[in-house]
Order: sequence, then C-alpha cells, then structure tokens
Amino acid sequence: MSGGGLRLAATVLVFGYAFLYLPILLVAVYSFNESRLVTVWAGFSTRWWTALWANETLLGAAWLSLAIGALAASAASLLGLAAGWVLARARPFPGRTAFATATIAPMVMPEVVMGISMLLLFVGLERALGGPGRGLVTIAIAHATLAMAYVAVVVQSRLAEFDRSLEEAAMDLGATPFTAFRTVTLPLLWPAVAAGWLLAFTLSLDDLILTQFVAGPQSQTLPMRVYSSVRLGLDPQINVLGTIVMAVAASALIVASLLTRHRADGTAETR
Amino acid sequence: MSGALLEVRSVAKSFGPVRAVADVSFEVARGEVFALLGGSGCGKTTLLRMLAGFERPDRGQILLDGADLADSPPHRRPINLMFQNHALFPHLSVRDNVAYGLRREGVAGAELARRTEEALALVRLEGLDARKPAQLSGGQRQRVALARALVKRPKLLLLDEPLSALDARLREETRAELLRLQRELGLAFLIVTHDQQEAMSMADRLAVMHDGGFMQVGTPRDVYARPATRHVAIFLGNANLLPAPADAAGRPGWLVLRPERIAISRVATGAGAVGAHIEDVAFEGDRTLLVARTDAGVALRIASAEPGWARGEPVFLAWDAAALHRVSA
Repeated sequence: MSGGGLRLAATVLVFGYAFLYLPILLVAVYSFNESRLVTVWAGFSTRWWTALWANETLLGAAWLSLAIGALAASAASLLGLAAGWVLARARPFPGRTAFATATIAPMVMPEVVMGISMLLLFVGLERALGGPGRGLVTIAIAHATLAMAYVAVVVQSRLAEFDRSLEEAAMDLGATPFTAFRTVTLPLLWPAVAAGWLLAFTLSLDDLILTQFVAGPQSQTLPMRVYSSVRLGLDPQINVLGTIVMAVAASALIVASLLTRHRADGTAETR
Repeated sequence: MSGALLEVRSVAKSFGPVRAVADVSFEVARGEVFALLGGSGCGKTTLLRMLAGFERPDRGQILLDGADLADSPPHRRPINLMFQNHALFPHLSVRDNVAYGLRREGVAGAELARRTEEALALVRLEGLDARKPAQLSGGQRQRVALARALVKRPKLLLLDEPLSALDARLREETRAELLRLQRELGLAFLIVTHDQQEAMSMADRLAVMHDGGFMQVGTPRDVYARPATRHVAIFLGNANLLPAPADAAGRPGWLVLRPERIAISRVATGAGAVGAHIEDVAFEGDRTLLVARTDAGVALRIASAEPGWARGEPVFLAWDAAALHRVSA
C-alpha cells in the first residue's frame, strides 16, 4: 500500500475508534466533574463518587443486579454445559436438530418477544402455584434462559475441537464415562465454562428489555434505575455508576477472552 | 502355555449401509505379535475399536481367555490401546498420565508410586516425570503412551499405527524397543497398520485386510512368498504380475514375480534370458529400483543391488521357475 493510502487508513481507524470510545471515555471523565450539570466541566472533584456511596437506592439496585448476574450466570453455565455437551458429543438422536435450534433460539429471538412470553409464563405460574413472585428469582430465570444459549455455543465449539480420543483413552484405562468426563473433559473444558459464565454475567448485568417484563415493582435492577433517572434528568452519579459497571464488564470480557485464548494455545500442542 | 489368548469369531459390523467388517475370525496366541494390515477404509480400525470396546459388533463373538467380552465396556476390559495420536492428557504431567490407569483401579500410596516408577523405568523416561506432554518430543510422547498402556499389565496390548508418527531413525529404535518389551513382559501385541514394512518387520503373523474381510493370514514370509491373491501380492511389497495360461479348470491366472528375484545383467547368461532395455532408474541407497521393458513389450520392476544402471541401457533379464507364484484371483 502506498504511504498516502496507509495514512488514510490510519486516519479512518483513529476516527472510528474515537467515535466508538470517546463517549464512553467522557462518561468516565465527567464522573469527576464538580458541576451538577453533566455537560459542563467545572473542575475535578470526587463528590459524586462520595454521593453515590451514600445513595442507597442506586447501590441497592447495583447489588440486586450483581446478585441476579451471579445467579443467572451460574444457572446458565450448568445448563449450557449440559446442552453444549449433548450438542457436541451425544450420538445422533431423533429431534437433535430441533434441540440444537431450540438451544440457540434465545440468541436470535427479539427480547421483546421473550419478555412477553416470560411474563405470561410467570403470571400463569403465579396463578397456578402461587409463586414465584416477580423479582430476583424471575429475573434470574429469564436471564439464565437467554445466557444459556451463549454458554452452550462456547462449550460446544470448544468440545468440537477437543480430541475425542482423550476421553476414549481415559475409558480404555479404566475410567467410567462419568469419571472420564470428570477427570479429563472437565479440566480441559473449564476455561470455556468460565468464559461462558463471565459472558452470561455481563449479559445479565446490562439487560434492560427482558428485565422490564419480568421484574416486580420492588425489584429495580441497575439498568432500570439508570434508565428511569435519565428520563428525570441526569446526575453525575450515573456517570460514576456507568464507569464502575464499564470497568467490571470490560475486565470480565478481557478475562474471558484470555481464558479462551490460553486454551487454544494449549491444545494446538497436543494435536 | 497353550490355547489362544484372543479369539475372534465371525465378527461383523456395519455403519448404516456401509459394511465395515464382514465376518472376520482369527486367533491371537499368548506372547504373539499379530498385525492387521490394510489400506484406509479396509475395516482394520473398526475391528480394533471393537476389540477395545468402543464399538459393538453386530454379530459374532470376541473372547479373551475364553471369556466373552460382548457386555464389558472399555473400562472393564483387560486390554489396553496405544492410540495413534498418543492421546496423552495435556493437563496432566507424565507421571500422572502413567498413573491414571492405576488410580482408576484404586491403587494408591506407595504401591502407586512404585508401579508408576517401574513403568517409567521400563520405557526409560525417568527424570521427565514432572513434564507436561506439550514439553516432550514425539518419541518421548510415544514412550509415555506406551508406559501408560503397559502400567495396568494388560493381557493384550493393541497398537494403532505405533510407528507411523515417527521419523525413519526413530522408527527402527522404537520397533526394537517395542519388541524387547513385548518379549520381556510376555505380552501379546495386536498391531493395526497400513504400513507393510511395519507389519512385516514386527509381526509373528499378519492378516491382510481388504473391504472388511481377511484376504490372507500367515507369517510375513509365507504371505510374501505365497500371496493368495493379486491384491495381497501388490499390497505386501512390490510385485510384477504376469498373465498366466488358464489352469485345468479353465480359470485365468497371474504369475507373481518379486522384483528382487529377477537377475539383471549386461550379457546374456543363459538360454532363458530375456532381452530388455531400462526405462526408469530410482536409486535408493541400499538398492536400485529399475523399470525395464522386455522386447515383447512387458514392463517389469527389478530390484538390483548394483547402482550403476542407466536409462535406455539394453540388458538381459532372467529368473528361476521357482520364483513364479501363481494366483488365480
């Protein structure tokens, strides 16, 4: 490529990244703003960070979101591990294609549709069984349903590249199929499961649409709280929260990608 | 000791419409090295997987020491398999790889350490026990795989292409090593391979497989000298096939003539000598492979110990009547 072309490409790249990440950076910068107005810089201050620390409504919402995220991610990891294993390993069975489609459907289904169907399910359950009341449990179930698909896909793709003769070698050496899974498959698979857990956690943490449908009046998650406060007028505390959430989500994603990349290197050696 | 260790009786296996193994029967004696030889898709791997327990035969019986193995899953068979790609557990050290089978049997403590140590010493891997498989060379991985398969003292060791992953020099070393261990431990080996040299040089007896069935079973020398069919003759070593007159029953036939049984010279040596000229020369170091076309127009492959042949050179070819072996299929 000529020097001019290269310079043009670099410029486009810089502008592209600036367009993507400058607003996010600004959110973090303005969290240290002295002014009450989020768009006017009036000097450095940590007052909004302190204010947030005392804001029990927002902090409560944050804790609720973290709890839901942990619950949903754990459930999604267990179910996604099982589903991914069946998709990659089980002998062909009638309805396998239907099962595969059903497993990944939540990834492509509009969240509004999922939200309505989940709401109808929970309302029906409440009528029939008297519970669970809408709140932490229902939100976690809804998020787990959505995130399970992602975990299943991660696990399945990891298993697909995973040398099946390792499990056979374990069985040949006297391991029952379950022991082979526990001592050979799982140790080699855990980075994929952990990456899936982190992915599920971040999905749950920032989900708004699905949550709106299945949340009860007493259970305002962080994204819901932020969204409603934006409509009432922004406060730099939101910037502070945004910065924290971004940091958490970004570190989770970095850890997840490191975990999967590390594994890819490890198996390339054993081929 | 007498009686067969492994008896395979009329075993057959199909995958959907594809017949992988069709009605195969054979025996392997105690302390014997038996090789299944065939090209890809001949059914040898399916047969191996049935012996290890990863596939169930559709029909037939597999008996080890007289006991039917039909209902024992892989983990309950006193048979171990050395995988072609070694299948070492990448997350475990060499020591833990070797100890894996013993741990599954509930062996622990000093006994576990002693037997693992023994197996590592057997394949001369002491000192590497803390390494991970990724830190080993190909030959070392091979030896870990061998130690791991031997540590449980199986009655029968299955070896899937044991030498194919190794380079030429390592192959010879490994072959000698494998046979030494086989003799020392009094084991029976069942080798599956597509490599005729691997099969001929290691096996006491071998079976040539084609299309799911056995074409011939015998000692390597026997099968080489007296192949049952054209296919066996071509598959096991080099062979020239000459059309033969029909036999008493009117069946057509072919004469198998091995390249090293043809004498080649620059002067006519006897009444039977045939005039020819050299069409192709391939120098292989210890021998030279030639293609010569006779004056009658037949191309023959010849192996000569003498290296000095040139393309286009006129020569005379001769062979004994005893060098010709007739096959009718």
